[in-house]
Amino acid sequence: MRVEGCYGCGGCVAVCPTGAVEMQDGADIDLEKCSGCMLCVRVCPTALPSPIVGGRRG
Amino acid sequence: MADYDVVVVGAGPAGSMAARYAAEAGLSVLLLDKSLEIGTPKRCGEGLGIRAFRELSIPADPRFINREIYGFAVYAPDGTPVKARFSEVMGYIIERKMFDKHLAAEAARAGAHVEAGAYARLKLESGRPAGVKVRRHDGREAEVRCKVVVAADGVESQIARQAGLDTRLKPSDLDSCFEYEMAGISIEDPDLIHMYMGNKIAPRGYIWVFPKDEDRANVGIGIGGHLEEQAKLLLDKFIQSRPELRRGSILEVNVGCVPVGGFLKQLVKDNLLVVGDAARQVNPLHGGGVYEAMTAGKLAGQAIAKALHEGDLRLLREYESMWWSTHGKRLERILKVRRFAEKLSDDEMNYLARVWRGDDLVELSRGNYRVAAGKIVAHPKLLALVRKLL
Ligand SMILES: Cc1cc2nc3c(=O)[nH]c(=O)nc-3n(C[C@H](O)[C@H](O)[C@H](O)COP(=O)(O)OP(=O)(O)OC[C@H]3O[C@@H](n4cnc5c(N)ncnc54)[C@H](O)[C@@H]3O)c2cc1C
Ligand code: SF4
Ligand code: SF4
Repeated sequence: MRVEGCYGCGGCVAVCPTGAVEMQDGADIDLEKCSGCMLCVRVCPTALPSPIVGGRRG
Repeated sequence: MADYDVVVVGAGPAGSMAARYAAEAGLSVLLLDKSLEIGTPKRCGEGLGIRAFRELSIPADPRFINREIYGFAVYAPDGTPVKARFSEVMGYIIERKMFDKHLAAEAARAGAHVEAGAYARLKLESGRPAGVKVRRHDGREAEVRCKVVVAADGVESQIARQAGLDTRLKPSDLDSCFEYEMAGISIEDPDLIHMYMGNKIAPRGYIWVFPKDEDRANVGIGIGGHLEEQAKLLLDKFIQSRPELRRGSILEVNVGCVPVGGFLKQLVKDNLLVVGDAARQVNPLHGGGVYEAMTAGKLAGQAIAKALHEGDLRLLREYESMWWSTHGKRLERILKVRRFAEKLSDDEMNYLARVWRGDDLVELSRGNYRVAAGKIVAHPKLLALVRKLL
């Protein structure tokens, strides 16, 4: 799942414990690998969007 | 058969320096970066101390220098400044996009082949790095074989992870940053960099105003990556509270994360070396990483040259031992200062701003805390803090 509005800063890639985020030109979350731990949302410097927008937030 | 002696992934300051020093020694080098334009987008306050230019023989070329900086002002939460102003240039606010491009061009001049718009993944053979798989901007894919891989892919640090090194970070190991390049603002003293401290305005971090011109600056914030607060909202709030910034224009929006929680212990695995942000080689006090990335890149490039010329890959480890015995040692001391600073309450910061002078902060940023700590001991109120420091 592509993260809409991502600035490509790489924070979520660095913290994702399962290696679910890949980033060539914007974060892309592999929902098969994602555990829903939300660490990526916590680290993201922007108020919105968060990496989980449209995904499995909550 | 290897296509190249060395493949460097990431053409930031770390990767370009590693590529340049390896190529200067006569090795064949491929330097890849996934971004379509090296140096862009900028994720940086663009402050760079003079030693990076002196020690690494980088010319102060007007093509990538915006402004000379003569010192700094650090503001306690109650506004009390600690200032240091020197008669000599202490550093520059660079134009990072041009600077990074210059370093990559220097690598090319030394003989490296540079390619932007090329995303790399590590290629393993029997568990050992054998090269990279490249996906180019036009969709073409290719495999490149090499003898040595340099992981210089910045904070994401996926190449080292693909080699089996655990480069994962906790959110608290990162500073989560947001920055605007602003024009049409007023800056009280544009010859200094300005830093605003406080647990309310920038929890576990600070707000910076780095002047690129008399009325133009990078205005940014870094806060603990584990915190509920969002960097962008806190920065917007700060700007709204400052009449000199409130009406400014926004020329750029910059977003980034800085690894400030300590350094990767193992810097070499088999024939793979990790440099720069990818190895978390950042000054943990202020988050400056360009100088650290450049020096580490140079050490890595030199170690690769020696190892391949002597035909003994075990010599790659010299990069790791050299880094730890020099820069690593210094940065470990600075990390201690950071751990102390992280614990300060706003009241304690206000107090310290009255006790410490600019010189003390200079020494602290180099990891020398004896004099500054000595001044704390003289003040009974701060004895509790000294215990924290020890
Ligand atoms: C907001 C902010 C402000 C900062 N301010 C300052 C400052 O004022 N002064 C200072 O000294 N430092 C500052 N820093 C830190 C500094 O920017 C970094 O420490 C520095 O850029 C590290 O250099 P590097 O070469 O290790 O990594 P980077 O400069 O991040 O370069 C890594 C490169 O690798 C590329 N890459 C990543 N993955 C791949 C892949 N799979 N394939 C191909 N290419 C890839 C990326 O596109 C990137 O170009 C700041 C950081 C931030 C976030
Ligand atoms: S929520 Fe999913 S993508 Fe985000 S850090 Fe956790 S595992 Fe990774
Ligand atoms: S942390 Fe946020 S802005 Fe940064 S790469 Fe991830 S989703 Fe994009």
